[in-house]
Amino acid sequence: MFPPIPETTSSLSFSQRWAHYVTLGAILSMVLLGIVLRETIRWRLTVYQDARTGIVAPYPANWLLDQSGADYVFRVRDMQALGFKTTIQLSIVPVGTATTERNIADRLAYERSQTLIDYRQLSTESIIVDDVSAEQVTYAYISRDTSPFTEAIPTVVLGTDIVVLTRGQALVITFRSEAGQYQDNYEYFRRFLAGLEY
Amino acid sequence: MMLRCLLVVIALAAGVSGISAQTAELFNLERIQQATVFIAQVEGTRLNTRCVGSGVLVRPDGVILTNAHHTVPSATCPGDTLIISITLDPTQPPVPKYRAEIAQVDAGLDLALLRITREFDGRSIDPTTFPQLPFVDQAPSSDVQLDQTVTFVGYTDLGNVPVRSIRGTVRGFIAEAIGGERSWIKTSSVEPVSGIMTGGGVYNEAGQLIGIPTSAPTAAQLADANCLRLEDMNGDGVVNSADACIPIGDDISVVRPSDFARPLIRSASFDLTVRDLTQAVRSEAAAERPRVARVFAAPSVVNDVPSTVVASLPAGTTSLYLFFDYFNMTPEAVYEVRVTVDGIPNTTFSLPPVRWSGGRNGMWYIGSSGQPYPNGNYEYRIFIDGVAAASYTVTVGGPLPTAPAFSNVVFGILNPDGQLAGSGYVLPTGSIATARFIYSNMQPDLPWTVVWYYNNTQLVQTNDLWRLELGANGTQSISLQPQGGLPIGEYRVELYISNILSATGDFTIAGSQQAALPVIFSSVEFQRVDAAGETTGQPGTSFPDGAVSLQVQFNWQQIALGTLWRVEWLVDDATFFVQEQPWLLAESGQGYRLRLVSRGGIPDGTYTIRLYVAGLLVESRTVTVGIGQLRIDRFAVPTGVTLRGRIIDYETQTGIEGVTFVLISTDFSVADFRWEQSQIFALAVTDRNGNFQIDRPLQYDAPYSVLVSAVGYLPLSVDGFSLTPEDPNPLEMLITLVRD
Repeated sequence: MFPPIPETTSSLSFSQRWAHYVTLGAILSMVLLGIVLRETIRWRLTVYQDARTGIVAPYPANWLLDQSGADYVFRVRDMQALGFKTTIQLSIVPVGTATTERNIADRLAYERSQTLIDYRQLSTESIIVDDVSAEQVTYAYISRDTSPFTEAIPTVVLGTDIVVLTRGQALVITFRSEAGQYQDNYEYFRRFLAGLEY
Repeated sequence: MMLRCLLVVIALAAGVSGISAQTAELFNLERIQQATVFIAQVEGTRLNTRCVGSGVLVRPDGVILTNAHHTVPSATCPGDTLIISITLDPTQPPVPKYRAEIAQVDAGLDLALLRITREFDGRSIDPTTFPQLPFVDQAPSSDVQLDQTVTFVGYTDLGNVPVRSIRGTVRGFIAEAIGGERSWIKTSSVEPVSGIMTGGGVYNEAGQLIGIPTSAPTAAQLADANCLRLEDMNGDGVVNSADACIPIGDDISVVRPSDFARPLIRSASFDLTVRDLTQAVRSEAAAERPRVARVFAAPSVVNDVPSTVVASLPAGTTSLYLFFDYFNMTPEAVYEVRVTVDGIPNTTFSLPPVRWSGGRNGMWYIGSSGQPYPNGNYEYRIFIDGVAAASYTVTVGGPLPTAPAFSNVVFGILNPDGQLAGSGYVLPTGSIATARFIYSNMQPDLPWTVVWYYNNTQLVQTNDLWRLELGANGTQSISLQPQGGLPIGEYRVELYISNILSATGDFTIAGSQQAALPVIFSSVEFQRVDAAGETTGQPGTSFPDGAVSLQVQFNWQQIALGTLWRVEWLVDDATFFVQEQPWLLAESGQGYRLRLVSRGGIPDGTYTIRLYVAGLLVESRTVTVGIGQLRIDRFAVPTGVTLRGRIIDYETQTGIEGVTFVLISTDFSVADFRWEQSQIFALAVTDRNGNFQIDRPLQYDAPYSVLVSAVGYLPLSVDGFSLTPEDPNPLEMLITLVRD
């Protein structure tokens, strides 16, 4: 005959119970800390300063800074992203005394319709940026890798241009992102605009 | 090197069978193949093909060197759009990718530079996103040697087959008035070089471009089997004789040396264009049928004129030139010289159909030196647009000549000491012109004749007997002194012995006299013009940078209608523009304006303009802009290792799309890299299969750093990634990324 199995109790001691709580809390804290760190890293900024133009622009850290373009003074791209590289760009356009933001926006549309594939203007509206009137144009186009030796699939890109007239010139602030990621990535642009000085 | 040890799984070398290992390192055939393009000149909205040929990229920004005859609109090739197909895979036919426009052209030399300006669908290309395309390096074609091995690269079919490379040998050189002794390189090849390869490239053992294979279809060929009908051009539902055909030239046996293309490439490189702002007030005579006349042979050429005139040459002759006068020629005319020796066609001395490069009227020569001429009767037959125009027979063989002869006619003005002074071929206006010539083996009382011509009209003829006191050998002077002086224009003297032409020479009268030299152009000055609408600008010899355009203004005097004059522009002592044309303005005037423009403003440099009349340099001026020196183009490095590869996911072993491969320049390590474009040598993004290709060749023994970083994957990086000539070229890499 086997001896009877003693009844077991599920109750934990006080210290055991608190040890569990502390462990769970620590895990939760670490997860939260990880999220915070991740977010901190994600939104970490590097400051671009150009004494010549007076532009100060905080842009996402580890985005590729390019100041060599003929048609922009500043461009950053998220080269670590897969697919289309989310882009923020600043251009300066000379203006006359009669030039309006809308004139510049239309000029950009003319030029982009010549170089961007299936360029389509989605909306144009007047907005206020830092108490300054501006013209905001949202558009879409097809982006493709220009290398003829690779087989990249074209990507639909959403873009936003904000045109501000300042000190006798027009500042064109451009944001472009893959259409499917546009809303997620727009936060980069929002933070960029929030810190932009010109 | 560590990265290669870790990541390079497959490394394939492009090799060419039969090439030594050392040459194979230099001769990067795949890069040359990728730089070779197929060009289709198409017409209208239906893009009907009108002409085809090959071309070669000579700059990374899409500048293509090719022939003019199949790209520039003409009666034979009336298309209005140029489609550029490129070699994506050397084992596959070319793929249409771009459209191009003509950037520079020299119709006579049959050279054109195209610039890729649009995507294949017609959309303008954004220069800031245009990739760096593979391009070829050039070697001085003056270094080419007889019997040197060369390689033709181009397309042999109408876009149906991959790019071909064909081995050939340099068989000789053909001299012409346009370019001297090496106006053409004659070649033979192991197999026929299709006429469609015209405009492609010919390369030396180091893989450097030495010339452009050329074969222009003649008008007669438009009706024969060389004209292919492929498309229903008239839209009648059938392809038949009612449809226009695509003309194909004969198999190629001549190459235009690449040195002729250098000025065009320079001007395209710096986007420099010369505009003539002075409108011609007269036009040339109405078009008449081209013709040639006064064909004769000479053993040598002195300052573009025959040293003497011969009907036979001794055995062992190594130089022979055929001279003729031509009239009503055009750059679109196709001429050909067929040579037979004792009735047997001789390909070495023949010139296959090529574009005419000598202008409208004048005296021309074709021949060669430094090549043995076997004994025999040489019959030269000249064809223009496929129609026989003239012929001439000269005999080679026999003893050294002992017959009386005149030679080496030069012109000038006698100074007070009785010496001939001047430039030799361009004399100032005055009352008298003197010709001096050498005579040999003359005998007393031998009849000789001098005939002077003015603008192709006989002016004076004198017949005389050779005087005893002159002796058998020496120099003699004769003068022309018409009543009323010498009017400006073209002159010629012909010297006959016993009514047989023995020597001849041409000279030009132009400008006022300053000592024995002509003053034709004066008050030559450079002006900086800062606005397109301005007609004059600030004169000077040194300008700060930022000029929109540079203008040369000068006055001219006493230059006759039709006189050939030439403008040559140089930057940093390198010619980038040459244009020779007949004078079409009034005899004298002021304010001739030539303007140099560039879309991005005039680049810094030292600019020189040279003005020639009848081949004589008569004026030269120099100006500096900015720092006085052209900036170095750091991207214009055509040689090195092509790097390409594939980036795959470790788990799935499939390619990852959209990953950036960053090649950091040699001045920075990965730790120094701050994600700034200025620190990057090159970067590439993977395609849908994970494949990438760096669009700039990597230099040997340069320590690059590599960074591959993508969201969702652990980054890879390495410093000191360098390549040696022993590494395969192209170098292929397989990179595996592990998810984080």
